[in-house]
Amino acid sequence: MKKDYLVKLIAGALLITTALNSCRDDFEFEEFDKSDDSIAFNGKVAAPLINSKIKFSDFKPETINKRLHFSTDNTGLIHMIIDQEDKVQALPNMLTPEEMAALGLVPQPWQKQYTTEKQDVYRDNEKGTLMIKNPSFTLNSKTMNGSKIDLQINEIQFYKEDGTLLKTVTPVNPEYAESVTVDNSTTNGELSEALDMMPDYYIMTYTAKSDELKSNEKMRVNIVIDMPLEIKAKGFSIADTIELDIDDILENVDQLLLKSKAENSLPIDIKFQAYFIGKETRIDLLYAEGPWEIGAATTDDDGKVQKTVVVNHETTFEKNRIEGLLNNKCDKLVYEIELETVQDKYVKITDIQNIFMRMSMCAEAGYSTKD
Amino acid sequence: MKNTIKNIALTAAMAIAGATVQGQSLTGYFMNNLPNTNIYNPAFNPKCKVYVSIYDIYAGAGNSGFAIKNMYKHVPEDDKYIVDLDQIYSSLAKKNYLFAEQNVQLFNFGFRIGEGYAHAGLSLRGFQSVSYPKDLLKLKDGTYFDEESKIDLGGLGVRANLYYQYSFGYSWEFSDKITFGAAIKRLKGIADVRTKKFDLVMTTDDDMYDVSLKSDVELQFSTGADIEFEYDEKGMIKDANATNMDFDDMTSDDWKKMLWKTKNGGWAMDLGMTYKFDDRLSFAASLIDFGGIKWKKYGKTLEQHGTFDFTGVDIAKYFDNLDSIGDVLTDSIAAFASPTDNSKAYTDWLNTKLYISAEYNVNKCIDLGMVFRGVWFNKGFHPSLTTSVNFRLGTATQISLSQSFINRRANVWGLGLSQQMGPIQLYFIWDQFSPMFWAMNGSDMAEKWFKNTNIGAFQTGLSIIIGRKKYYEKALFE
Repeated sequence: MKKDYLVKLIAGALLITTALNSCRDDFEFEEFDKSDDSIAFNGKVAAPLINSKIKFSDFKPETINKRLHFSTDNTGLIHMIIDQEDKVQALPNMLTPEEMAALGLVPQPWQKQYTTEKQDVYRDNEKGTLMIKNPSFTLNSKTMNGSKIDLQINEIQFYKEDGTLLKTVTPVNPEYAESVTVDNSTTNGELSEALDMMPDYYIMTYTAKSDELKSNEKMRVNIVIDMPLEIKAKGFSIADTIELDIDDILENVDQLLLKSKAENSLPIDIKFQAYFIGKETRIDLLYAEGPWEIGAATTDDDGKVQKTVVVNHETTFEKNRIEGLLNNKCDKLVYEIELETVQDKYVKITDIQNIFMRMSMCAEAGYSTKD
Repeated sequence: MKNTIKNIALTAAMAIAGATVQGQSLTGYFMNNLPNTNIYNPAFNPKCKVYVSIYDIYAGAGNSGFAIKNMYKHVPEDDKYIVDLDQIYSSLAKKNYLFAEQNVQLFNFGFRIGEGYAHAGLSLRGFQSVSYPKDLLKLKDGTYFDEESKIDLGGLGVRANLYYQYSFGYSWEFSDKITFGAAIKRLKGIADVRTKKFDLVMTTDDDMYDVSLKSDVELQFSTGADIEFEYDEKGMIKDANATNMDFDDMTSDDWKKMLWKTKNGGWAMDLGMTYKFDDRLSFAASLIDFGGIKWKKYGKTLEQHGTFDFTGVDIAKYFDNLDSIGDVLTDSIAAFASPTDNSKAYTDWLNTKLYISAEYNVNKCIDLGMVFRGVWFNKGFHPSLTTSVNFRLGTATQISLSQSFINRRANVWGLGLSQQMGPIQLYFIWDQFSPMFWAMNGSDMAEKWFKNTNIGAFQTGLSIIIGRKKYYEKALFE
């Protein structure tokens, strides 16, 4: 028994001593000590950006007069309507016909010629030529106290922004009415000619008359320019600016692929380009090889679509281009859409025509938690 | 010497480093000196007249996926290590889980009745796991891949519970060869959370990168608190409050309600049998923890189902207000992701275990054993195979060495030690001895083994055992 006990004791002591002597000195892992505590991710993220059926009437940059809207007539033709109001005019206090008769005076109708303020047509952001086949200007009056005012358009003078007079249009046989319209038929086609010159603003001279003015009366005229979109476009371009904040988006991107797809049922050739701006300087183009061109659809004389045009496009931003945008502090994107009708003939833009556009991106990015 | 003892103590603490989803150690199965092996098979009869377990504490944790060695990559030029997501990804199975389990016996005793044995006990048991699919790590490469761009996060989820277990068991010798055993367990749930369902698939189309998200998620939970959710205008949860108590100012009554006066109950049972083929060879089989808890008090379910297909923004609607596109997108995502909640009782089943084993007595001091163990957990069946050699040095000392195949690894080596000193029995069991070995052995081999470890458990206990000697034949040194 004692022998057994001794053997157990010695064996146990040997075991413990051996174990203690072979114990390691440090309880550290090199992986943990020399780890930089960061995790790196590197991969591709892809997502669609735009999926839109855009009608002509959907596009309304803010730079165009804010009172612009679109409507559709019963043939489906889209009309671009600009609705403008002139300043309020205070009208003279006149005696009523009864009062004049009581004084033995013969009542005389009131009449006065007025000139509107400068009213916008096209602005600087529109370039090229947009010819409207059958535009019209309608002058309406509104009074505060309900007097009946008749108007007559005397002339419309069209100017460029710097004050250069482009054309004066005078209606032939102008009439008086509460709402009076001039178009090509009443101006011998001069109205279209004037608008074809892409004026920046116009000033209208008109005469207002009334048989009976109420006292303390005020009048305001409003001018409605109706441009049915039976048009010819020659290099007509519209531009607009979007503010950009790309630092957070592009900072870790190594490569960016943009895929674009369009199906055009508008009878207009479209060219689309965008410019990256930083510190008011152009840094880069969206499409480095040139604008993205989308051909015109084929339509009949009534604007019915006969054949659409499908276009695919890919553009890649490599690392150096992305770095260029970031280093030059890109903060704006100016996009430009250029329209051109084919075969030098007027085409009708209807509400069933549209451009179906898709844009998607695939970004290859690397990101580290250390960043 | 002082440092060495301190280091060994630290390493012993580190030995709580991974477990099977078992609640019972792999190595302890064949340690028949221990009186409470009836937790593996209620037909196992302790080799004593009476025992009282003073304490038995089991703790384990682990990761079925990667080990330390899979986590890092050395960058020689900087002499630094970086987290290597590619290596972690390739070491994962389709479904993986992190888990931890605790079992504290508050009291446990047993006594012999004729040829049978009765036992009873009270334990506090806890289990926590996070399941994660391999595709979760696929996100390291982004969301678009040159081959099929699909990320399937189905199976992502959490599970955690805490409950008391009152157990009453009895084993009886049906014949000379066959012994049956059964235990009935009354369960009292304290808290539970589980992901009943998690299906989330994201696909990205090859042509124009259209993104589709399909989800079907259901989370159930119950605590002693009646939780009410507050939602924001987008339908997302912005706050959760307990209506029956204030978490910031808990009273002793509140704690009692949460931890003791729980109304969530359940039942489970253990069934087992042993078969003595001959004097040397015996077989055993058992089914453990077959049952569950009905979480009816303050049971809550959070659900989210939906499909979100994103093909791009219709900018025609927003030409006048491009800034609003961001809000529109977040509203759409919120509409897809926003959950609903309802109060609903539910049943959560325990991790039922199946043991099938064979034991061969080489001589009176050496046994060889093999046990197959399978656990039903997380809608899957998780098997392991353990072989062991068990030494009895006298009636008082038992040493068990085991080797297990588990979680796609065969490097799980366990060590169990039990020592009787008079009526007191003390035992320590490590299911994965690599941390202790690493602490005691400064070799590269020990370090490699530890770094390749992703699982382990530790169990220790103290019991008073009376009337054991007649149940042992004279062994080594006697």
